[in-house]
Amino acid sequence: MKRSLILLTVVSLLMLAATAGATEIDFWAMTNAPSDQHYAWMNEKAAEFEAETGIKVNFEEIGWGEIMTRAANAIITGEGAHVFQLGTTQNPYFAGTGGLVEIDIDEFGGADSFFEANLESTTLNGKNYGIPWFAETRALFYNTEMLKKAGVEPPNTYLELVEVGQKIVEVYGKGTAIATAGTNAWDLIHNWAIILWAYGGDMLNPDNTAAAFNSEAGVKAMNYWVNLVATGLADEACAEYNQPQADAAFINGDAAMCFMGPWNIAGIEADNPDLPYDIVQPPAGPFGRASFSGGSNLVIRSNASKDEIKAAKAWVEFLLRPDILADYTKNLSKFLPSNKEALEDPYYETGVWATFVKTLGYATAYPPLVEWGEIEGTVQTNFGNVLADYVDGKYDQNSAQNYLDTAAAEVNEILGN
Amino acid sequence: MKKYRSLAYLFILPAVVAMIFVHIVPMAWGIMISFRDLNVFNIRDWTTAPFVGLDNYKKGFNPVTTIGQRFWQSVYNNLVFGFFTISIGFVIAMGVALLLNQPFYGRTFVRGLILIPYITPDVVVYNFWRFIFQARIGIFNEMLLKLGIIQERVIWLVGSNTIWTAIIAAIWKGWPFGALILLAGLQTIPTELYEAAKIDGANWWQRFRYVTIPFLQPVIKTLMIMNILWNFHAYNQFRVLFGDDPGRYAEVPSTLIMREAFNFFRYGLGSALSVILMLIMLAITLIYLSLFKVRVVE
Amino acid sequence: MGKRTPIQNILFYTAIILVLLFVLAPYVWMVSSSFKTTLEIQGMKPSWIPQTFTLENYRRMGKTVPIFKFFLNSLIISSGSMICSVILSVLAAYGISRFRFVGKNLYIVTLLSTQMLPGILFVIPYFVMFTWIKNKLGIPMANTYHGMIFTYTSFALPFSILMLRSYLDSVPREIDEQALIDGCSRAQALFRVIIPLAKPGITAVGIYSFIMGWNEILFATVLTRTDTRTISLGLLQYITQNEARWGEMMAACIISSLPIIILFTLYQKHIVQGLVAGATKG
Repeated sequence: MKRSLILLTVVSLLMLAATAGATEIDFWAMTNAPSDQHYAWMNEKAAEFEAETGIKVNFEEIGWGEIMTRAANAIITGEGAHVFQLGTTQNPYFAGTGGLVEIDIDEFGGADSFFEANLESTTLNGKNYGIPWFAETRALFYNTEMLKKAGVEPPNTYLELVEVGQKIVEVYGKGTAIATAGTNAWDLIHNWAIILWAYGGDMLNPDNTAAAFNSEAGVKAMNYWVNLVATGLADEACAEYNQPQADAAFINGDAAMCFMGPWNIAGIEADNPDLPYDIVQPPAGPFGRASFSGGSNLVIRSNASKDEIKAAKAWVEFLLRPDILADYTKNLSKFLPSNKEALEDPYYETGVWATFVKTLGYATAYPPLVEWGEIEGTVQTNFGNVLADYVDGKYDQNSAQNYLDTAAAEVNEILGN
Repeated sequence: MKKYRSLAYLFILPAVVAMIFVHIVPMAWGIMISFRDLNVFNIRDWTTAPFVGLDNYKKGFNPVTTIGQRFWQSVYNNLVFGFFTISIGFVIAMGVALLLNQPFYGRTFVRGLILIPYITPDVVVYNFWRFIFQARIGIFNEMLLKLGIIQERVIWLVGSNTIWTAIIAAIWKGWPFGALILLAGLQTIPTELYEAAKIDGANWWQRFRYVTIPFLQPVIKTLMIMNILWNFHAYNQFRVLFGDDPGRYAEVPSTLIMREAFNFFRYGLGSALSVILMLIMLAITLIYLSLFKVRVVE
Repeated sequence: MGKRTPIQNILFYTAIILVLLFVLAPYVWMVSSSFKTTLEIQGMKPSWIPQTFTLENYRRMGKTVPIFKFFLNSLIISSGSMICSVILSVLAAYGISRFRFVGKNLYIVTLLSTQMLPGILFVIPYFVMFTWIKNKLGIPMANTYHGMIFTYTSFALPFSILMLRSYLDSVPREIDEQALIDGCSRAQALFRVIIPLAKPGITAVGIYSFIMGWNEILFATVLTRTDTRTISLGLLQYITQNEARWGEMMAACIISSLPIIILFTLYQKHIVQGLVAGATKG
């Protein structure tokens, strides 16, 4: 009896020592894939990683709507994920709080192995505070059958898009040409930005000290979106959509065109596999084509212990291995890998992917600023106001300019002038 | 029972202690925070946040600043919301209560059924209303179109309609409670009173006005004060129907403060706005209590 | 209240049916939508009856959002706060109902005035307080069951006390006095005599706290993470920046209403009595 007790004590002590030696880290990623598949994949990879390094990774999925609060709480309390995903536009903010570990990008394959726009989003004042994970960009999806019936080719410029749309409306009726996102979409600003850029505008002035988006290009871009609804090309209901609802209208075959991302392909396959569709690059404006560079980065919390930070870095390195990253982006998230080597996978030369890769080549990112989140919020609110005015019948040719000026004044205040 | 007086303290002690920790302390804490510029950079130790005096209050009170303008707009929205939700809800509740006060087969069953909206979880209710109100795929527009009330689809979830959307959904959720309470009140009125009034030649309206209403008065007073308080706590309706940012026409103080504090991390400003909101509610309640001479203590 | 004429009868029942339609129509829409395909839901022709009947939404709702985990969390948190607030409010309500003591009126006014305070006033301090407790005392509060139970108990408490007190007031004092004469102590009188008599009131209070915990989203948004996330918040995750799963959301809405509907059907009489007592005498 006594002997077994001693044995038990020794064994449990040994076990305790073993667990004390092993590092355990928490990892948060957003809902990049259907929850069940996402957990299955992550747990499988975590097991592989643990077998390799002895580090245990606990994965948790976070909604996009709550990541700001959750990440802030983790940084504030020192509780929660040691390493987590942040949207490209959120990275600078958290870098500014001092809550993220500064990254030597050479440890992760050097600056050249990532897309420039994505790498830039990890920076603040020239230093890196994250590692690009995957990239996203949008292209114009169109319904081949609807365009054929209307006797038109997919548009090359924004002016053509309107002409094509009118033809479609003649055949299919009001609101069937394009589905756009409205006040409930975070993507509102991205959709506006690509036209702003294509018309030669900029978000901020060159040294990022003042708003520049209330220029003629900005007004044109905003009017362009509102007019899609006002002239009957897009359904009035678009004003209240979030992006997935706009996507759904396209996927359903109720709208002939929609700006969407590669992740929507999975949605088409699941909900309406018979949909005849294809994609083209976003149309060009007078200043050529422009597209939005988004995506996500991986960041490490700085108030973690040294061992945990080391473990977190190893986990990031593991996730970025070209084969693992390509597997994740190909089979789960349907985004594009941020790592050029992973993108060399022949899969990305096929079908619609080639168009996305081409589009990503000239994609523009927002300026990496601590204040970006607030700036985005301001623009979003005022774009929402323009749409609300339209719904109320109060929209006129000055609305866009007025609201953009209001937004610009607020942004200038945020930027400290 | 005098000798048991000390025992009384023993009975209420746990609840008092709990309330000190959950109401008094946090409230005091909130007021302290409201004088500081507490943000994500210094919240780890709130005492390090710089003391800014009344700055947060000035920002919130001043209708010229962006935030002040939004705040007063949100207070106004909440007043509009409260006024229509309570008054229309009350009329429906009274009507149904009078209806259910008639004897008929299956009355208890019907009374149970009408309570369902009240007990269905908030998020469920406002989620299906949000679905119902969808302009393109919702059943509300579809029904209105079929009935010929509207010719074109109406956008309910954007623009100046939003406040009405919230009011409709909130009335639907709230009236059953009123109906239940009023019905209970109606059932305490002795039938002899009606009989007597009838003999005196009082018509339907006169009986309602001079028998029913005076009898129900105390019930109505409490019902109203509860409604006022609940509708000034409004958050769930707006958050679920319209998301984090309900837009200018449907912003209420709670959604605004939540965004300021937890999306933009201005905890100090958020606290100051909540304190202002509390003072407004206090004023409204006191005005109501003194106007209608509601007795809260014995 | 004489007999209705046949015409009055027709009008009367029409009115009743209209009221029921008004109440039940949204539920019909919810239930029918939960059996529709995404394709049909997103189509232009909303209808009351599914064109193609599918169980897909019920199969997938747990995959899009870990809704069953959230269901369990809500069950734990709501039951926990139900138990705590029943215990505390029985004691306090008994104290108020049966004794005169210094500060009694002040206490009642305090209870009433907490009803006046907007929840939003407490969210920020709670967040700061929970952070502080964790940092200074090492007790985790945010994202724990006990933290949430503590929070919800506290918010259900004032109304529970007031509601139960008015119920206890309706139980004649002579009953306690008789029990005391029979040799019971105060505590015995409370537990053996009063509590059994006050069962409807206690049930109403318990269900009130349960529903409160089940419903709450303001504090849950800030104080819970995936481990302790409640079902009400989970329901919001079907329509997000990258999903618009109305059908699954409706299915999940039905699931999350079940416990409340069941409780209500079982205890309808008590709930009604309790609500009425709380409102008419509080």
